[in-house]
Amino acid sequence: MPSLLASLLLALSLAPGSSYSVDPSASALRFRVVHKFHTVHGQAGQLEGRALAREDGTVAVMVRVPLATLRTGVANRDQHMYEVLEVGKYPYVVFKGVGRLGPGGDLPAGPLTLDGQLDLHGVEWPVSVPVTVERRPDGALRARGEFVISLDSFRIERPSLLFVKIEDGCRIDLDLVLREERR
Amino acid sequence: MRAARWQLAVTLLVTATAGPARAAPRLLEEELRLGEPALSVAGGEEGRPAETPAPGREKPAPPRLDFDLLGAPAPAPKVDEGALRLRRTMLSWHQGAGLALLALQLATTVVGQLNYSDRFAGGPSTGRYELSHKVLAYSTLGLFAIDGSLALLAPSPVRRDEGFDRVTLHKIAMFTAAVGMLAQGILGVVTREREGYLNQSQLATIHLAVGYATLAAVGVGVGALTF
Repeated sequence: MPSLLASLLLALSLAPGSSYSVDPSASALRFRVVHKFHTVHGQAGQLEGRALAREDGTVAVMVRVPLATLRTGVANRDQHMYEVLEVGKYPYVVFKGVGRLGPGGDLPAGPLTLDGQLDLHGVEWPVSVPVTVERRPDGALRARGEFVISLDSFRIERPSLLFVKIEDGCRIDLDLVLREERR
Repeated sequence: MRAARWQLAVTLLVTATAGPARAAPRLLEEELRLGEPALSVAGGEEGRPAETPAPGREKPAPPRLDFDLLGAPAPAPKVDEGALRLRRTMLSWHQGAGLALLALQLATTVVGQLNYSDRFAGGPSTGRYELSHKVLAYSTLGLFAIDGSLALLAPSPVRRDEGFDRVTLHKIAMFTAAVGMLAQGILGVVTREREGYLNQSQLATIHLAVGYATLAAVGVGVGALTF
């Protein structure tokens, strides 16, 4: 019991200088767009990311996804998506953010807000992503969060079906498993 | 009179110079009330005193994002954007033509049913729907050929197999519709040539049934991509 308590207490903090990398096989990035007739769900086929706890009590996070790996389950629709995202010109979506840890690198009891920016379609736009971080029994961190982006803000031409465009908001769900890197 | 003019001039001068000085504190109060940092610029411009932030109300500086935790990305696979654009244009036309096709197919079937009822449901045959049915049928066939060509000739720069998806269902339905339309063309001509023969009514019934099946296939094909 004391060892479990100790591990739980340890689990709530990130040691300065420690770094974590996203385990792509255990992680998922999903997105959802809404059309009047139906809702389209998709997800990224590959993603890479790292988090670094810094000496100044912050954690820096970077996540990168190749846009050509986005899938919605319909190959034809995916090709339309690649066209509007101009994946040849802008092949990646990149998120960079910084979250403030508590004293001693403690993770907050509630969501950790990552303030940063999303680089998509050649446009950098500020975003705030609240993520809930928990330690898994195997020691890895699991970070989950969601946020909504405006396609218009990123100058993405919204695809249409039957001459009706999809809605402007695109919800993005993150479920990342991060494993500590050996120093 | 002259003294009064001087007094007016002095009054105007005093009012003009004192105005901004009085306005500044009012602005400061409003900003504080709105919860915004009153003045957050640390260094003043030349000739102006440095402004200091209001105590306890300092807005946290935006995070510095000049870090790169992932290094250079792997080279992304090349995508022919011109081909993607051409594909999108062709498929947009395909979509519009598909909706027109559904409407034409529906009209052809309705008029075909009226024509069938006029010819074979008993009573004198007037033949008043024959020409309109013929025009609609050939228009449908022509539009179907154009619409199908747009889809088949559209480039596909990112080929991927997603297994059975909505597009697969669309393709199966439209292939069924293509077979139906071909059969309709042949059956229509054969039925017309059997004028006066006993089996013309049977052929017309088959023609009608295939017409409904073709309409259903087009409906499924359009619906597969719409809903």
